[in-house]
Amino acid sequence: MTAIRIEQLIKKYGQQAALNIDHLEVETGTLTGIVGNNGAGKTTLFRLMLDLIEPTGGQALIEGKPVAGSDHWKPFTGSYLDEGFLIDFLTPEEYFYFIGKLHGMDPGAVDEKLKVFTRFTSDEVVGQKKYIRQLSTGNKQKVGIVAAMMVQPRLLILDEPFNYLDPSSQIMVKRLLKADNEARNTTMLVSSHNLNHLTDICSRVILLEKGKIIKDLTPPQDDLREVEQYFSVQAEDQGSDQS
Amino acid sequence: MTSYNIPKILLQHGWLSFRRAHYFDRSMGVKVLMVFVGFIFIWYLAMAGALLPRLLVHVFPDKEPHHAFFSILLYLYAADLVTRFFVQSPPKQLIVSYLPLPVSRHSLAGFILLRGWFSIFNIYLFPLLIPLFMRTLLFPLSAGAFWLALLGCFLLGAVNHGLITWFKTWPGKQARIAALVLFIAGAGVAGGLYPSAFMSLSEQLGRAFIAGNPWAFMLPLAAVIFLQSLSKKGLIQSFYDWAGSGHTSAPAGSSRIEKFFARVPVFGPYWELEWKLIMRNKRASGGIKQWPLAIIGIPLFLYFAPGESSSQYIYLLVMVAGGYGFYHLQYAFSWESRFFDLIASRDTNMYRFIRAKYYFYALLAVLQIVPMLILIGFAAPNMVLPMAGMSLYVTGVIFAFLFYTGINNSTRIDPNKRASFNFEGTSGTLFMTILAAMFSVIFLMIIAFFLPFGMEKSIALVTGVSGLAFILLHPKWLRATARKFERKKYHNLNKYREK
Repeated sequence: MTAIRIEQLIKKYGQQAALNIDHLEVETGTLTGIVGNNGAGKTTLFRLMLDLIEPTGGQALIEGKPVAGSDHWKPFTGSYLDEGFLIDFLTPEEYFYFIGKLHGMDPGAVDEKLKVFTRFTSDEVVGQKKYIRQLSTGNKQKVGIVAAMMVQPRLLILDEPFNYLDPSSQIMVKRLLKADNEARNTTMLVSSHNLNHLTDICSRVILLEKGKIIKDLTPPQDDLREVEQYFSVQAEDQGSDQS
Repeated sequence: MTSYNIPKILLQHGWLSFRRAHYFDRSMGVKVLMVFVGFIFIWYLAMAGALLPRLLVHVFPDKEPHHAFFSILLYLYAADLVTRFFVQSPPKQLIVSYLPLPVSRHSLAGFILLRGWFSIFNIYLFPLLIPLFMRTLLFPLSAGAFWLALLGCFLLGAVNHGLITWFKTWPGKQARIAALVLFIAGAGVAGGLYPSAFMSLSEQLGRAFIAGNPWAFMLPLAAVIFLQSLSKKGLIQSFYDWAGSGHTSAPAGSSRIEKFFARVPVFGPYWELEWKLIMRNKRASGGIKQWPLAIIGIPLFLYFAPGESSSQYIYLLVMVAGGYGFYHLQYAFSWESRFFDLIASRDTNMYRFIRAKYYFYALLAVLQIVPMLILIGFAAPNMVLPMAGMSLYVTGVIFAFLFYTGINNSTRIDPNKRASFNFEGTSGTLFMTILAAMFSVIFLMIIAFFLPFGMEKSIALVTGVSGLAFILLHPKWLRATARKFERKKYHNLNKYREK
């Protein structure tokens, strides 16, 4: 079954196309990684999928229905893109309870769901009597990831979840994502600059460049060294331009 | 960089931070409007200063006008102290980025103290004092008396400045709150229980100023120096707090009000969030903390005010009759601008969100207006009906107007940035919206004029009926607001994201 379908989705800022995807389908239960350089269009794609920006053309569909101007996808979609998803004057617990309430969960149920993330938050997030605005960037990132995952969504969208995290936490995020994907068949879209993180967990990796899909690979059948080579060539080209 | 240059560099940075502040980053139209409003404010003060001698002669017929003014001088500066207590803040937000740099803490503390003097609170009374002293001292007495009186008043303001700076920079919040409350209470009790003695002391001080008595100047000057040195010591210790190492004082769910709001069916999560937004952010909480003062202050003002008719104070009534919501809803949805992506991508219906917001501020208005009306019943019984009518008008018509037009204000604001004067969130549209809201009552007064019930009852009737109609029809205009928000959603979300 198709969880996400994108049809001729275009987002332009002035004459500049930030995203131009002709067609993309993501099957239910797929853990898909989106990789690309800065400005490749990863965050733009996610914002369009969450109906946070207006497409210039085309549409994104979740479970067969268009996202734009509709709320049908919200009850089963968890997402964290950046600090704009955090309510910085709440404590992490209050934030989790608030998100829980929006998804019909009482505090007891939220506490129960949070147990899965105890090691990940490692006593630095919950019970600190600190507001989110007082947390370190890494701990804010953890709060956002936990809030997106704890509601057990059918679709999870995370933008650069490995950023700002220490190596142990990065490994834990990967484990949490993999476990949730396998246990509940969650459809996941995860972006990262780091190809290694995505190859560890993703069953599909999409390479975006200048708003377009230039490679769509399914490891381990496809060799991801091809993508690595692509980035190396890009880096060399940029280096020679500068020199 | 030698330490010799640091105070100069800090001052240059202070000037740049002022010059590049948000309120200068406006269109020419808004700047002109702001200058115009500033001039109106100064004009009002100057007119008050010019007319005050006539009023003083009327109230104190056996005294010279300047002696009469001096007898209330200490009351004036006590009121100034209370105003500063709520509104004036030291420029400490400038400092955090300098703490890790090789700049001595003494230099930083000195810079903050010096920068603190460039505050509007140290000059705002002069547009009133200068014309007053020109009429009562410069022409009847001498230029020397005029300048000495101004110098004396400046020193009294400086003592208040010193007290507030010490209060707001000294670590150990409870001790300083206790000290300042004791000071204000002591002055209040002295002025309230022994008004003649207090007024006599005040008059003697004023006379000492114009007589050039050195002690009258030395004592406040010594107090200022003492308070500034105390402040410097406190400032150096406070740096740690400013660097953000402090924990929150209120742990999660500790407030009974939060728990009460959380239990409200349907709107509970939104009300709880709204309350926390207000109480945990400087800019939002600054307004609500002034409300207890307004509940007492407005009836007191109406008691002492010379006018008989509510139409004389109609704009004041508009500003206070909607409670805290009138202030807060001017920025409508910008309060949530920093996390609107979350709201937009979660399972929240915009109509329910806006309805929860309206009910919340209508409830706050009721909680604030009812005790105020009871006190007005004692202080100025003729104002009860107009005030009640105006409350319905503001919570009905004006709130609807603020909600609907508020969608056009898509400015991102940081609710924790500044305690007062939210210039960051001010736009030309907002400015015109507030002017339109204020002037809308003129039409009501015209209608009331033609009704056969007398002006007071007619104003109450017109405002009350129109307000009630909007309150009863609120689902319709709230739905229209939600639809408008959906239409402007992408534009507003883009603006909210702009840092």
